[in-house]
Amino acid sequence: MILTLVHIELEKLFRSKRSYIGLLAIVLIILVIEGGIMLQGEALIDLISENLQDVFILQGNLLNGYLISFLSINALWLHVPILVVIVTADLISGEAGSGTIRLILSRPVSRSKLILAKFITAIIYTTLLVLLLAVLSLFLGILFFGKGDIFVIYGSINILQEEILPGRFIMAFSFGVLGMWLVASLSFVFSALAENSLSPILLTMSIIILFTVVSSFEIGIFEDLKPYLFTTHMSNWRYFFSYKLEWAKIMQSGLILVAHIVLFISLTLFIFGKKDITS
Amino acid sequence: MNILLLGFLQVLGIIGLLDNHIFESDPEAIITETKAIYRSIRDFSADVKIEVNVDFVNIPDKQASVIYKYPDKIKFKSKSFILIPKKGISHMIFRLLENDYSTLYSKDRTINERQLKEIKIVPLADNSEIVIATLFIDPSDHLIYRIEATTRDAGFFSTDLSYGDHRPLPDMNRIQFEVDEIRIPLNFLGKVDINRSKIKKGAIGEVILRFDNYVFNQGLKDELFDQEKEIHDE
Repeated sequence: MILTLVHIELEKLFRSKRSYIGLLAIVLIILVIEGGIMLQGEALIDLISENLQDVFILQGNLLNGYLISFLSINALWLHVPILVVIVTADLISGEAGSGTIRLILSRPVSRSKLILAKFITAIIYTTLLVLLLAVLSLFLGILFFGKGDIFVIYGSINILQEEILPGRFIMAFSFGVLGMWLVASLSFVFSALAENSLSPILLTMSIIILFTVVSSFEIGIFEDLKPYLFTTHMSNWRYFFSYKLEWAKIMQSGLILVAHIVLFISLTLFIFGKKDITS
Repeated sequence: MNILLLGFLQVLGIIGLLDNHIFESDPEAIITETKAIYRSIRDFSADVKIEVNVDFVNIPDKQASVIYKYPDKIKFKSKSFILIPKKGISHMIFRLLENDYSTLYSKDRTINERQLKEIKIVPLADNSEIVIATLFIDPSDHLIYRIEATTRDAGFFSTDLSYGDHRPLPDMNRIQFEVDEIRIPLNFLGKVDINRSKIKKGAIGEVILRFDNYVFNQGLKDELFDQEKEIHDE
């Protein structure tokens, strides 16, 4: 039953032009980064390695496909969440707004199954977005710039070897997917409350931007608040670019993300379960 | 008569001892012997393992190859990214010794249970990168075991050399250098998280080069050191 519902939801999702905006934007982001690196890559490498050049002669290809992918994964901070929310925040409220939700619920479909089917659809779409970001950035990056070590400033200056990078990127993007599922689940809460698409999109994005800004401050009370903001943990795909993997921190952040997803979906089920369908 | 002969022999002996001591402490003579030994290696190629120990830099040990031509042509090559200290590789000293300099014997020093002559070298050229260098040379084999130098731009560095089967080529070169205050570029790759406590003025960095598979005096051409210039290579 739920599979049928998911199938129907996916069909609806990919019939909507809005769903392709995200995919197209990902392609554009990658192309802009690739173009920028082609034009200004050397300057970027000089900037990154300026300090080391005072002491060391640097030899090797730092301007490579993995650097492109590392630049691209930074889109998980804000760009990809926006693209996720544009689609997922509309999945419930869009149907409420257009009146089709009443039609669906007039059939023998439970509200919880409908929400779960929509959420599974949302996570498939979200995963697809991040997968496109990962595959395209790595594929085009390696095609145009080849492979090599990358240079990451995280705690210290870390030079990560080419051999370990495929695994690190798979893990980092997978963690990124978890973060985007959280964004989708948060948008579901507002989507269940709203009768139009715009409000849940704006509310979800406002919260993510606010939390991200607070997470970025490294002073006073903001520093104390950080561990309690889910945006802090969403960005912890960065852990996979530390020199030595700190699994305890990774697991902690991962579990916090999963707990938030469960919380937001439970909240959505509760709100939607109690909601009067009037439209 | 016998007393006179004995006295004469004693004087000769003292003069001989003094002469020997004077030779052993004559910095120019020691340097000339040392230069002759190192000059016997006109070029070499070798495999080198590079270990970088700098507080705020994490880089795994790297394998590279190196080619060298006396006195100061050197080139490292590696399939992956490598960091090579700008100062401290012994070829800098050979370049210095091929130019005008003055020497000064300082004293004997025991380093790693080896009795070494400490000789100061002051380059005479105004534009010399090295301001003053100290070579620690074992007079028994005339090899350099330590180099300490103060440079015009990059502060102080020291290099310890240890030898194995490939004398006078070192098996290991341990380079220590000053790492000046570090300027970390901010937010060029999204958000960065820097442990600034690790970045302090006057920190000491260390690079250990372990050489293996030496092939020497094979007639390496100068062009080998110019072509395929790597990015950021000086």
